[in-house]
Order: sequence, then C-alpha cells, then structure tokens
Amino acid sequence: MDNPSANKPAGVLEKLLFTVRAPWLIVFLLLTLFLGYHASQVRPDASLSKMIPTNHPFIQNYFDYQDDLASLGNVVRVAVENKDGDIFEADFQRELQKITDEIFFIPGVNRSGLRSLWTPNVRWMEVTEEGFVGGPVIPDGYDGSEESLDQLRTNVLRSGEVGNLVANNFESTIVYIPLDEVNPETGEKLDYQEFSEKLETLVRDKYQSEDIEIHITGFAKLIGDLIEGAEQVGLFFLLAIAITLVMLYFYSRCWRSTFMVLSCSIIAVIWQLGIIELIGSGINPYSMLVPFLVFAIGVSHGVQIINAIGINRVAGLDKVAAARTAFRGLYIAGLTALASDAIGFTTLMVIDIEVIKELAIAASIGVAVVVLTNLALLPILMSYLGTSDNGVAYQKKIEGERHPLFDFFAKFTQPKWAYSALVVALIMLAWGLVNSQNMAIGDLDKGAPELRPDSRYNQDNAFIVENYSSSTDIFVVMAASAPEQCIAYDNLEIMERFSWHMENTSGVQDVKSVVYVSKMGMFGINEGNLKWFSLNRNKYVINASLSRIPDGLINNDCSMAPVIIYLDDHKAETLKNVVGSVNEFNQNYQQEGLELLMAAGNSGIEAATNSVIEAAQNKMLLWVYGVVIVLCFITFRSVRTVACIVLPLAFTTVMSQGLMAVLGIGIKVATLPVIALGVGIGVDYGIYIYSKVKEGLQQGMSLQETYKYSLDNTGKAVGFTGLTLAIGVATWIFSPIKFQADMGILLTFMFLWNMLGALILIPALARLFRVGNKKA
Amino acid sequence: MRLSLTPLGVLLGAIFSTTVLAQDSDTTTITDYDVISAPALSSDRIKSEVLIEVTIVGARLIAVGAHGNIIWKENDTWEQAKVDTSVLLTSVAFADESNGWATGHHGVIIKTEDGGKTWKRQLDGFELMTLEKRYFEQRIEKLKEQLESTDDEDVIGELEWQLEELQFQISNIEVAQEEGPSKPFLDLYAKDNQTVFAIGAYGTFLKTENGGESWQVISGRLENPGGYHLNTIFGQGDDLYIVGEAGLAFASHDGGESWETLDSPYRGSLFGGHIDARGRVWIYGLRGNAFVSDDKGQSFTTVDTGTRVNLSAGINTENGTQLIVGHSGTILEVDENLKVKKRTHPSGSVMTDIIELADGEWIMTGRSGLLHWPAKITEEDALATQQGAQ
Repeated sequence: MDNPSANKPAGVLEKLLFTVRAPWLIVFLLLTLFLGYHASQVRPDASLSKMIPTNHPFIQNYFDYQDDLASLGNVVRVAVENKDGDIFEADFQRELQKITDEIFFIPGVNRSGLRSLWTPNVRWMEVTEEGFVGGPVIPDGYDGSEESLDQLRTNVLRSGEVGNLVANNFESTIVYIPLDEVNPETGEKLDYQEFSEKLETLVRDKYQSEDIEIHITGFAKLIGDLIEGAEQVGLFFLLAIAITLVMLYFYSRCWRSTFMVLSCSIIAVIWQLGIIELIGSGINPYSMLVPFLVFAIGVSHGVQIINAIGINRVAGLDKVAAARTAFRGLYIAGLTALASDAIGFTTLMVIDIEVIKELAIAASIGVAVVVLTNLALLPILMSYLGTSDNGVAYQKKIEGERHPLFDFFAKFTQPKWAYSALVVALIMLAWGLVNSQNMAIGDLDKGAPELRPDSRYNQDNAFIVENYSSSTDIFVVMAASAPEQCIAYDNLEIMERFSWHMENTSGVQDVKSVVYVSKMGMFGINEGNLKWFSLNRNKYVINASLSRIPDGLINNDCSMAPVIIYLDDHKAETLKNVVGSVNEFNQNYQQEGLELLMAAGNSGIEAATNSVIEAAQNKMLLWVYGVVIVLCFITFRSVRTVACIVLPLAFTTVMSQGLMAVLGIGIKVATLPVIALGVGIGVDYGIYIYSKVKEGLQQGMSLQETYKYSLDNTGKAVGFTGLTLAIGVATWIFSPIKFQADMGILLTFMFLWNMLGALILIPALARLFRVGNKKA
Repeated sequence: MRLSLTPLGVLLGAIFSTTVLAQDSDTTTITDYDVISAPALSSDRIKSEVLIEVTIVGARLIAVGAHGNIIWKENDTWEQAKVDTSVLLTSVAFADESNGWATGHHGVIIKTEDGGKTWKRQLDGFELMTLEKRYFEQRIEKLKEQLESTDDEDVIGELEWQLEELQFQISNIEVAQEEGPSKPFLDLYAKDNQTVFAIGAYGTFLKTENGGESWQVISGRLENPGGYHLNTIFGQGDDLYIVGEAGLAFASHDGGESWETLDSPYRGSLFGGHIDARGRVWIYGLRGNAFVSDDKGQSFTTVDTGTRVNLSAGINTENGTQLIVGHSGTILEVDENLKVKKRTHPSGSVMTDIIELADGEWIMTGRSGLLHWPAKITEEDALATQQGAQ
C-alpha cells in the first residue's frame, strides 16, 4: 500500500517525543502515579444543588429560604404494612413499637418530630362541654387485648390521622421521620447514604417478614439509592473493558497491541479522574458517563495507531520507525478530530446547570488527556514493544483483501442506490419529525424519575401514594413578608385567595399552608362548628387558631410561609400550567407587604430546570451545529462538503428525538447533553471519511473509486470506532438509575446511527450534490 | 447545484424549533384586596369544597359555602351563581322562589332577586359596626333618660352597670373599626320577602322589614348578657326559635317581636334545630345531644342518639321521620317513637346540612362539599372521601 506519511519529514512534535523516549516514559509514569492517587480520592457526589439551575430566579428564591424549608421537605416515611390483616392486631402493634424505637435511635432522626402511633405526640382530640379532651392514640394501659385494640381503633378514627399516618384501608401505618440536616449534637452534616443504609439494615432487613412488609420513601432514601446505584456503574466499566479487550484482539490479533491500547485508554481515564479531583470538581451520576466516553474515544484513536504501526511493520519498518511513522501520519487528523470533540463538549457550557457543566469540563479534559495518552504515550510504548509476529502476520493476510461490506457501502455512490437511500432517509426523517413533535420536556414517569419505575423505591412510593392521601409532586410558593408579618390578617387573606386560585388550576390536587391550619384552628376552637371554617381579622383570634402549627409552615422570624401545592404529576405541561397560574395571580393581585415567590419543592425545582432546559435546547443545538459546521468548513472549504457531513448528523439528531418521544424519554438534564455528545463525536466519522474522499478526488478518481479508496483506508476504523463507542455506553442501559439508562440508550443509538449515516448517506449525498462529478 | 448556507440554516431551524406558549396579559391588577368585596372566583371544584347549607327553592337546589361559592341546579348540572363577595357563606334562606338571602363571615349579607343566580351585598361588617354603634348609643341615651327619672338605688345600680356594659361594647366596636369586622353571621330566617332575621357571633341579632334595604340591630330583645354565639334560627308561622352557645335557647310566639328565654335541657352548645310536620321542636348540638319538645319549647325530651359526634342540622321527611346530620359522616334517622337508626356516610366527613329530594335521595353539605345518600360512587365522592379523610 502506498504510504504517503513515511515520506513526510518529521515534525517538531515527533522529534520532541521520539528523540528521547525514556524520560517521557518516566514523566508519564510519575504523572499517572500522582493523578492515580487523586483519582482514588474521587467520590460520587449526588448533591442536589448541582443538579438544578442555580441561577434561575426560582432557585435563587428557594436558596433564600432553603433553611426555613428544610424541615418541610426532608422527611422519610416508613410504611409498615400488615400483609394479612389490618393494623389493629397485637402482633403487628408490637412490631410497630419495636420499629419506632429502632428508628428513634438512628442518627439524623429529629427525635421530637418523629411520629408514629407509638410516639406520644400523636394524639386524638374531642370537643366536650368542658372544652377539649384528648390523649395519645395508644390508650393508657395498652396491653394488646381486644379491648385496648378497640380503644386504639376508636382513638385512631378521632385523631384525624387516617390518610396521614394510617392508610385509608387500615392495612398499614406510617412512621414519619423528619431529619436533621445538621446533627444538633455533633454539628456534622447528615450522610444520606449512611442513613439510607441504616434504614435498610435496621428496619427493612430486620422487620420485614411473611406478615410485615416495609415501604420506605423520602428524599434521603432516594439520594441513598441513587448513590448506591451509581456505585454499581463501576461494574459496568469493567464489563466495557472486557468487551473492548475481546474486540481489540479480534481486530489486531496481537495481545501486545491490545493491552497497550487498553492500558493507555485506562490511563486516560485515571488522568481525567485525577484532574477533575484536583480542580475540585467531583463526579456526579451524570458525569460518570465521561470515563466511559474517554475510554471509548481513547480506544478508537489507539486502534488507528496500532493499525498504522501494523501496516508499517508489514512494510518492513523496524519497531521505532513504525511507531514514529504512525505518529507522523495520524497526529494531525487525530488532533483535529479530538479538537472537534472537545469543542463540541464545551458547547454544553451554555446550559446553566452545574452537573452538565461538570460533565462538559470532565469530557473536555478527558479528550485532551486522550491526546497525550493515545497519540503520544501509545506510539512511544509501541516503539519499545512492537507489534507481535502474530499481529504482523494477520495484518499481512488481510492487506489487499477488501471487506465485502465496503463494496456494499460503495454502491451508494451510484445514482440508483444513492437516491433510494435518500428516499428511505427522507421517509425516516419524516417519521422522526412527526414523532419528535411529541417529545416532551422533563420527566414523564410517576414517582421519583431518577430511578426506574419498577425500582424498589418507586414501588414503595406508589404504595404510599395509593394508600395515603398525599401526592409526592409538590410545588411550593413562598409567601414572603416583613418579619413578624407572615400571619398578619391581610397576608393570610391574600394567601387564602391564592390557594383557592391555585386549587382551580388544572393539575393541582390540593393546596395547604398556614391558612388551612388557621381555618382548621377556627373550626376547632369553635367547638367543631364548620360555620367557623374561615380566617378571622382579629389578630388574637388568629394567634389562638394557630396555637398548634406544624413544623415548617412559618419560618423562625415569621417572614415567610410556604404555600404547598400538591400536583397530579410532574409532567412539564402540568408544571408550566402551574407556573403560568401563579404568574397570572401575581399580575392580578399585588398587595404591598406580601410577595408570592416561586418556587421550591421537587416540582418547583423541576419547573425551573425545565424552563432552563427548554431555553437551552435550541441554543445548544445551534452552538454545537455551528461549531461543527465551522470546523468542517475550515477543514474542507466547501459548502457542499459541509452539507454532506452535517446532514447525516442532523438526520440522526431528528431520529433520536423521534426515538425519545416513542420511548417516552423527556428532554431533561440527563438527555440534553446526549445530543451534543452524539453530534460532537459523530462528526469524526464524516471528517475521517471525507478527508480520504478529498485525497481521492485530488488524485482524479471517480466518486465511486474515491469512496472505495476512502473505505479501504478508514472504513475499518470507522466501523470499529462506532462499535467501541456504542459498547462503552450501551452497558449503561442496565443501570438502576433511570436517567443513566436513558443516556445509554440514546448514546448507543446515536453512535451506531451516526456511523451508518456516515457510511451510507455521505456517498449518497455526495452523489446528489455532484461532488467530483467530472468522471462519474 | 450549490447549496447555500441559508436553506440549511432554515432547515435546522425548522427541525429544532419548538413553540413558545403565549401568555395572555388581559388583566386588571388589584392592590387593595378585601375578601368582603372580592367577587367569588369561577370554579369547577365547588362541589368538593366546603359547603355549609343547601336548600330547595321550587324546582331549584341551591348550596352555599366557602370562598363566596354558591351553586344552583335545576336540571342535571350544578351551575355557579354570580356572587359579589368571597367570604365563607354560613346560611341561605328564601322567602319565595325569587327572593333569598345568604349570610357570611365579616358581617356580610347578600341577596338574590332572581332565584339564586346572582347575588349582591346588602350589608357588610363595616356597616354592621356602624349600626351596632348607633344602636348602643341609642340604648345609652335611653338608659340615661331612665337614670334621670328614677330614685330607686337598686334600679340605679342596675342601670349603671348596664350603662357601663354598653360603653364597653362601644369601645370594643371602636377597636374593631380599626382592625375591620370580625364577626360572622351564622344563620338567617326569612319570614316573608320583607321580613328577615339574621343572627351571629357574640349575640349579633339583626332584622329587616324592607327586604334588606335597611337592617336594624335587635340584640337587646334576647337575654344574652354573656354575648354568646347565636347558632341557628328557625320557625313556623309566628313561632320562632333561636339556639346557641352554652345551651342558649329562645322562643318567640309573635313573629320575633318579643322573645322568652327557654329552660334549656343542655348546657353545651346547640348547633341546629327544626320543626317537624307535627309541630314538634327539635334541637341538637355538641356530642350527640338531641332534644325534642311537643309544647313549643316549654319542656324537652332527651333523644337517645347513641352517638357522641356533633350534630349540625336536621329536617322532617315525607314519611314522618327526622334526619339529623353531624360529624364523622353521621346521619341519624329518628322515627315517631324516638328510635334512632344511625347511618354513616362512607366519606366520614363533617356534614352541616341535609335535604330530601322527591325521589327519596338525600343531599348533604359539609367539609367535603356535596354528598349523596344513597352514596353515589362518583368521582366527586371518591375525591370527597379522600378529603374527608384528611
């Protein structure tokens, strides 16, 4: 085979690397040890504040009152279910008492706020001629007898806890656990993962039996499950390495090359992790994708190096010369491709969400690292080791053979095949376009969207939603006033109007706030006469009505009272509707002294995230396509060429949007970066193929000859790259974390589809645009 | 063919464009919101929101409740009335098929002249305070005249004590005028389309003789020195009854001109009362206490209700039994012999009123809005059940 790079003079970089090879190896070794140490310090971090758009006004408002709202949201519910019978059984109550005691002693539990049938703060109350009478729901002298169980049943019914602590069907009851974000004794921050684990071992494992089932929900549990799930992803990495190992050997038939490529790619991952640890940016469940990508990109570039070295060895060069020549031939193309990847990733920085920025930074660093490890270190290492005889023999054997698939792809330069392919592509494009109209913003599944719908957490969540009167989709509006004014009559009255306005908004189930507590208080202090279920102007009456105000419904200095809006679901449309309704109210009612600020609660935060994502998605696409178009234009100086390369990418983008709609995957923090990653990496194929096409055309070949020439040189690498990238991310499809699985599905689809698009549509479009039509 | 960048850009733009939701900005801003004068919001959730009373006016059903909500039904569907207040409405009564009144919190009384479709404020708490102040001032004038015309030491002592009490009331009103009205009306009785009585918290008692154009305070007609709440007023012909807090019970047999204090059978609060087809007077209240009198309130017999829940309201039915509703979904059916049959509505909700339709169906109001018996398994009831449980 003709090898033009061997005839080129050696460049500066090459001289720098290959004149003194040994010191470089020591430098790389030391760097790897140093960064390896730091990489080992990296811990998964699932902090909420990174996953939300911190500059969005909703989130700014939320941060202003975060401490005041903490006691409202940070609650874990443990539902204890009697699987055959109801809760009024002696055995069940004994177990419930033990569970309550067990939970009481778990660090992080706010003990005074802990509520269960067995805590003294859960009481029944009744109005009598003398006023209120009441007592704990567990009757005095409870002994598990029929009578005391009957008394318990009566007390539960008049406690008003049915639907709250006791299921509507009386078959389960909840232990309600408020958490202290900061331990008041030690001042330590609550470790969600540890807490979640303690609940598993001390409650679920210990008390779940044939008769009793335990269901646990709450933010702390969710975060715990998320981190636990993220740790499993480590195993996927091993799986990806194993599969890649097999593929590399199959490709090269040389163990030395195989291990060198793997090692250099793993070193790239180690460096990338070490560097992000050094710059103080952690790894989160989203940026966990990056090591997989870096590894796959490293392998795909490494393959080209060992491929070139193998060819050079066959051509009779010695180990050092083969490696040097391979470097000389590939470093410019490699640098260009990697630069386009890195620039593609940095366009993600336009999205103002920390985890996406971290992902963008981590991916850009990773790609930069791959330049050093797989374009520099790998050829140096191979200059010592050399391709094995087995590998050289295999290379010799396949040289000159043309893979039958290449003949197939080359057919797409012929008009009949080209136009057929384009028509098929147009039909598919139409499918994609039609379906992508249904693509939704945000999370679409019920329960906690971070986890799979059939996960233990979401099953537990569904159990509680089904059996208790509470929605888990909560949108909080903060009613902010001057200090001491949060329960001033005028403010309460506006909040009442606002609550009723919101209750009449579609998608809203219920609205609760201090207003409701005051009205219930009025109902209570007026002997249970519903005709008093109203706010009162008199401040002493208001104070009396609010004598028993639950935690979190007003803040310490009484300058804010949250209005809690329970929603049907957290679909983007519902959230948008709620936000619109709040805005409408704020436009219609502007009362001095009270501001109704959006938004907290899981749905409030999601509404902010959705709005940022909605604004960012077009911006990001414009940027990433803009960058790719400019890069291609600089490289090829032809609008037609740019169109040939970019249109297949756009085709893939539309198809993956259609796929998202069909699979019910929304545009969200996890899936938004995927398109940029897909386009950024996908353009590599086009650049590789087209750079050879350009060479061929310059040599005066016909389009078909040119394309065959191009496939001979790059087809194998393109195919291999597509497969390694796809395999690297495909393991994610099995992640217990739903959004990681979504990312895996979409990236796998995009990597494979981009590859096919490049191989089929580039020749077809070249035919359509009459590229190199002089002879064809 | 040379492909320029423009169509490519257009294509990309078309592919990735999404629609932006337009917001209508057709609004007027309210900066001095007051629940008294704020029109009730239009809502399709009224049937499951707090409703206090329901009544039958000719072929029409009318129910009133929270947020100034009034709904009416003539055929199959409930429709929302136009109401120019958003206070909690506590009572509704009609004099004929067109003219009706409803009372509410913050001293609000509203009137309809079209059978319940539109309602306008006749009185609010600010006006009520002015009325009451003038009333107390007039009484002070009278007391002062009496003081001047008597020499009896005992009478002077008594009158001076009353005077002090009235002056205290006036200063109370002056304080309240700063803060705004806080006294709710709790019930009303329309004797005819000119004469209406309204009662409420802290002994408030009003009457109009011109269909509500002007109201006069008549709280002095009741012996209620403690200023206890008056909870319900009901009557038949010239016989009127009022019961209230702490077992208060009054009767008038001359159409409300003069009132006697009845010997109450109970010292706890009484919330409701009605007169049955045989002219017996039923009263009931806290903790399942219910009493019946067949001598116009001179003596009462205790009804053994078998329940301890609050009882709110009751009616006489076609077949001669009495229906009394209360908390915890309780519906009591009391027969001629005072035998009580207890039913429990599945919502377990607080109920405040009941009517019987021609087909024997009962409709109740309360904490969960409209409820039916036999309990209809409808979406709205399912929702009501949920809310009742909360």
